[in-house]
Amino acid sequence: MIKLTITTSMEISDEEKAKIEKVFAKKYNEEIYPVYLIDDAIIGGIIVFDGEKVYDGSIRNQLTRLNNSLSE
Amino acid sequence: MMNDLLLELPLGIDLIKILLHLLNFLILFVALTFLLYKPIIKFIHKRQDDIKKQLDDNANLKKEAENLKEEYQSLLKNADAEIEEKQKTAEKNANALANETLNDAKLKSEEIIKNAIEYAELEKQRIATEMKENISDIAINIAKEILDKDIKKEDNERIIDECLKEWSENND
Repeated sequence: MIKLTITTSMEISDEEKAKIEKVFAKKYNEEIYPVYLIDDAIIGGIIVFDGEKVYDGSIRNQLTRLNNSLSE
Repeated sequence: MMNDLLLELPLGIDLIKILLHLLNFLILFVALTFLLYKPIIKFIHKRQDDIKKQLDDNANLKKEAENLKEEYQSLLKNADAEIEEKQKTAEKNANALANETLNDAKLKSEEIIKNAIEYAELEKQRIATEMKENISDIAINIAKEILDKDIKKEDNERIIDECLKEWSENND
């Protein structure tokens, strides 16, 4: 079993949670143990952390990457 | 007979007396020659020699003076030529120094101008970069503000779905 820390900017529906768990269970080919956190600093989207790797799909990350590309 | 002849000369002339006078004259002559004439001649000769020597000395001195005069004139001439040469050299050196100073000043001013242009270019680039960063920061902040306020639950879940789709495809 793998523990996943799932961060969103607001509360998500159970259906959405089910989708997330399904995708990562297939990815790891293992049962997962999700921990849901709310952090409005990410603005929107999702961040998933498995203890080693980070999957950052947050709007904050996208805006930061956009800022960096504009600064170059 | 001889005495008679002698006594009988006309006009009362006494031959003995004449002879005595002649002898007297002769003695006087000889005496004067040895006592007066020879010393005087000797003195005159010595005087002549002295005068000649003095004249010779004067001639030598005059010649020496003329030689010295020539020598000094030659030295003066050489000195004039040397002075002229030194003046020309000094003038040439002064001109060379002036030209060198001018060239140095020109090079330095060109260097200053070049550095100023480079600095201005760097400043321009720096300001442009800074402005770009500032503008992008402002744009990002504005986007953040707008999204923070306006993002809805459905939009958020749609964004999450897109991320899940992308991560699934990468897994495949």
